Amino acid sequence: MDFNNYGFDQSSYERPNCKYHCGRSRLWQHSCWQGPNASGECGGTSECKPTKVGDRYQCTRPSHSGGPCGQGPHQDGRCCQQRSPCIPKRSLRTWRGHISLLVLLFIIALIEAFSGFSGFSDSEGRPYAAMSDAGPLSAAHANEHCGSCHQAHKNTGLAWLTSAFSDHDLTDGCLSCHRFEGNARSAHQSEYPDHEPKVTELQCISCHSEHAGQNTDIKQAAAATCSNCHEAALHLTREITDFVGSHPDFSGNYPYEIPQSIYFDHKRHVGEYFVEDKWTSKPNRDAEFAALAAEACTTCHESAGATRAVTPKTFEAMCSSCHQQQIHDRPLIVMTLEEPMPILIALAAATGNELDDEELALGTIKQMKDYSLEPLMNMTGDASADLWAGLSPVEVKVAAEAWAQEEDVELPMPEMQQEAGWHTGENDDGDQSLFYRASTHTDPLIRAWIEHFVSRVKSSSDEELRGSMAEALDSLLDAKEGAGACGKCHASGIRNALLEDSKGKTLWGYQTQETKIHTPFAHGPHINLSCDSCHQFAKDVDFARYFKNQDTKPSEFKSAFMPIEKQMCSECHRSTRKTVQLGDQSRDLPIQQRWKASDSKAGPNPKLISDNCLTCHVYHGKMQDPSGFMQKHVILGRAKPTTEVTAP
Amino acid sequence: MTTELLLSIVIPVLGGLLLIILLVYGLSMLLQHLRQSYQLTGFQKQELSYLKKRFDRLSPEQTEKANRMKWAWQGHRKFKICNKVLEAETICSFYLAPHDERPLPPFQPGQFLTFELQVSGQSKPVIRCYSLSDAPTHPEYYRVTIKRIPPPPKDPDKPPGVGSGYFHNQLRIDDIIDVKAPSGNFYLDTQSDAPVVLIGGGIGITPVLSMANYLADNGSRREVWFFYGVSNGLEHIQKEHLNTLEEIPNFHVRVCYSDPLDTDIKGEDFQVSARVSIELLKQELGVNNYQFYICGPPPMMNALTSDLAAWGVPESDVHSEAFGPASVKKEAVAAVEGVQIQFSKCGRSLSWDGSHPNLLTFGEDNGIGLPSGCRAGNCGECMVALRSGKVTYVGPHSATIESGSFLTCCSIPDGAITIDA
Repeated sequence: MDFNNYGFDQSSYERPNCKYHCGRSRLWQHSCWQGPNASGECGGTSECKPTKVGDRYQCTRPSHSGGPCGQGPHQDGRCCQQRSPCIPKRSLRTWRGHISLLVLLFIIALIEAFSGFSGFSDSEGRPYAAMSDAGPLSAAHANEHCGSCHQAHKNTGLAWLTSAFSDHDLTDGCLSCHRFEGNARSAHQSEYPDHEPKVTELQCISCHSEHAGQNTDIKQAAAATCSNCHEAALHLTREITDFVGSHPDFSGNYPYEIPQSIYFDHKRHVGEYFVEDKWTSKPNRDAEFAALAAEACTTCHESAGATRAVTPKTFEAMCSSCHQQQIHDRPLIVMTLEEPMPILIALAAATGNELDDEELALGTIKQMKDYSLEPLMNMTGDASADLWAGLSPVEVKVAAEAWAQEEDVELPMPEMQQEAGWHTGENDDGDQSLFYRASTHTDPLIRAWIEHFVSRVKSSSDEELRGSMAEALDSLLDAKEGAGACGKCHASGIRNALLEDSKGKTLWGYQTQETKIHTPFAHGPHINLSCDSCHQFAKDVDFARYFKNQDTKPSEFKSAFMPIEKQMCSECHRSTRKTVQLGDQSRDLPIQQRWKASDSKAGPNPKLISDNCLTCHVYHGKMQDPSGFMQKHVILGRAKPTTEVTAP
Repeated sequence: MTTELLLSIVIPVLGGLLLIILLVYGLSMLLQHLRQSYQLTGFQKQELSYLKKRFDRLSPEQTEKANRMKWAWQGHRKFKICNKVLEAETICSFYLAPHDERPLPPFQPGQFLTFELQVSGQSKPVIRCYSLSDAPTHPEYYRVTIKRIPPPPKDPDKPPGVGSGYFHNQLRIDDIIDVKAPSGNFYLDTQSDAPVVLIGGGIGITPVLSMANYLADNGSRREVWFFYGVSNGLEHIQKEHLNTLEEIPNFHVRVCYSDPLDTDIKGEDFQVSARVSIELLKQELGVNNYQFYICGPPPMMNALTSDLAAWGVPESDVHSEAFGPASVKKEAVAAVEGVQIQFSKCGRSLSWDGSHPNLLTFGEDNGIGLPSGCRAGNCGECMVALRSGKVTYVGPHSATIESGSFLTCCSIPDGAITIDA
């Protein structure tokens, strides 16, 4: 490579320090060797600049220009080869710089001159957008003005200038109206500790495009927008374009990842008790129950207004017809003379007594004889009011005195023992005991007893005491003999609440599947499909094992239903797509097409359904008050009373 | 609120002003560009004017050259003495007009005329060269200025100068003489614009006076220094004319009297009471970036040429006129003694003894008839054929030498030679 080609006198590169070119270049086809000076004056008015050596001026013309001339300098030091000066021309770089500066200043001047004149604004001070119209706003923002979003620019020329040097973004404008939980600039307003890199500086305009017209749905985002992050996050090898081709498979047990909190065996109820033949394979079903059984899924599940969860109806509406009597028939037995109850043992252990079972019962009874309810309340502490509510001290004293004399308590009205409430005397098993009979579902006293022992089990640091409490709780939740038959259905939910990671889990109520804030599946749009289109019984699954065997871990739970797979959704959610230009962005939107008859499994919905990401997923999972937001009216440069309007 | 109101007024006004300034600036840039375009046209005109000036300057020279070629003559031409002006006691100017009344060819300022004089008492025509003392800007006449040469002061018995005496004593107005065309290589470079120093010593003023007149008549803007060295006012010629030259801004005339008379007034008749020397030149010139033209007596010329060389003036910048025998000896050449000089026509063979300055005097002293003229290598009259051997020229010569011949007046043998004489 010949580097001489890039020498300062060879290269055509416009050097910043050479602001002028020789004016003779065009005539001579080359510049003179001196060239213009920095001020743009011709430097080649003579062949050389003679220097004086002794009494003689010497010619200094360089060798590349011919060397010293024959005649030599004049006596006054002038070169003998004088030329008229040329008119140096500005270099192209200089012209570019001048024009760029002029254009910049011109734009600034235009902004300054016109943006601030009231004559160029409307009656409310909004500048006419002729100069800077980026396009019509969407319908959602149709009543907004420039300064609502472009807050740093406002509508004055000064603000336009200062905005160029200030740190601001459009997201500030968005957040003045739209509120989100967490950091609105973080991906999904959430923190992903294991995710690298951290995405904490997102802008609203990364997904939402304005100025594309009133018909634009600003909430929509193309699959490509999601793909920007999730293509890598999902380890996809190509861009996310559609549901069928790009979406990963659902998780193995979707949507039954966590165990139910209430033991209800759909398969058994349907198979054994429901009326219609289509529900049961058991021909000789119990006619008594069959008359009371449900006729369809919606008999028990509340479909109206269903979102992700189609919650079951209440116990009274669904279960009481068959199970109400079981609640009544299983009393809470605190103590018996014949057999010390685990409840009493646990209560005594909590007070520090180390009596054996027999002494415990007799000692307690003796104390009860002397002090009425006081010995019982001493064992239950602060919870006594809830745990012994309704227990008559007189009745307890009478029973205690009788039991102290080793006599049976005389029952004034034996049939009264079947009523709800506290009783002393002979229970259903014929034992002399202090027991409580529940009145109805959600009986507050039995709930209080169960919750008391749950609390004591969780809070006990003494392993022996904790064991006593757990034993008492187990007796309460026994599926066949437990008080109020609570444990028959609620045992697994209550035991889950005892686990270390049980924070937030309910003891009693129906617990929906784990809430997926970015995938809020809604049953509503799918309500025209039959339930068994998606929810189908799993064959050969020991569904009851988890509920009946306390040692079974939640992770080993097996649903009675088959998991829902991606294929099931893609029956309907598929489409051909078309790229549509919206404003300055191109979006990938589905084209709705009629479902071909030969492919039709979609039942009543004859159309293909959109498979856009946002059809099923919600980016803003933590949006405050998604139904409305504070709406500000800010008139550019002019304060106007701020009103907060909450949408209905 | 007040600040906001103020800003809402000030900012647009400033913006408007800036806009106006920018528009004016943009317009001025446009005008400047147009003006530069116009200037570029002017620059091209300037370049053309410069070229035209050069062409105009070359054009007369080309015309002169053409005329010189056109009107030149070969051999001798009859000229009539049309005027005779006594410049000093021993110096007289002769104005020569062509007898055939045809136009005269222009000459280069500094050249000389070669006269063939029919002097009574002389066995053959006397050949003499005299410089033209006026500028070639007068096409109607030639002028030569001749000093009457007296006998040498050391030897007053010797005869005075034959040629000069003939001019002074015998030629009268309307006399006709034979003249060769102007020749000589000591002339002004008229195409150059370099500053010149013209130095004339005694009657040596004539060629440099021709140069000065040429420059003055053509209105040259070249820097001209004119040094004129004479003994005193008795030899000072063209005094009034030189005073006229002094009045030209770029002319500087310095008259130097080496031996002024009591009647000579310094500052009026002359400026320097000394010979023309290198010290005077250094003092007056300061720098030596000049073209030096020197004509004068041999001592002055020898001294000046060597001193100028010592001052750092390149040899190419020093031009000197050699007139008379051994005018300027730039270097001494020692010929080999004892070589044989064969004269073929007269059949004599002589041995070179090294005591003669040239072969012409060697032959004359040995009684061999050799032609002679200016005796300075200028007129070519002494040219003879060289049959064998080589010669070495010991001095400058301007005459055109034919192939196989040589000038006897300024050469010595380089080994054995045979001369056709």
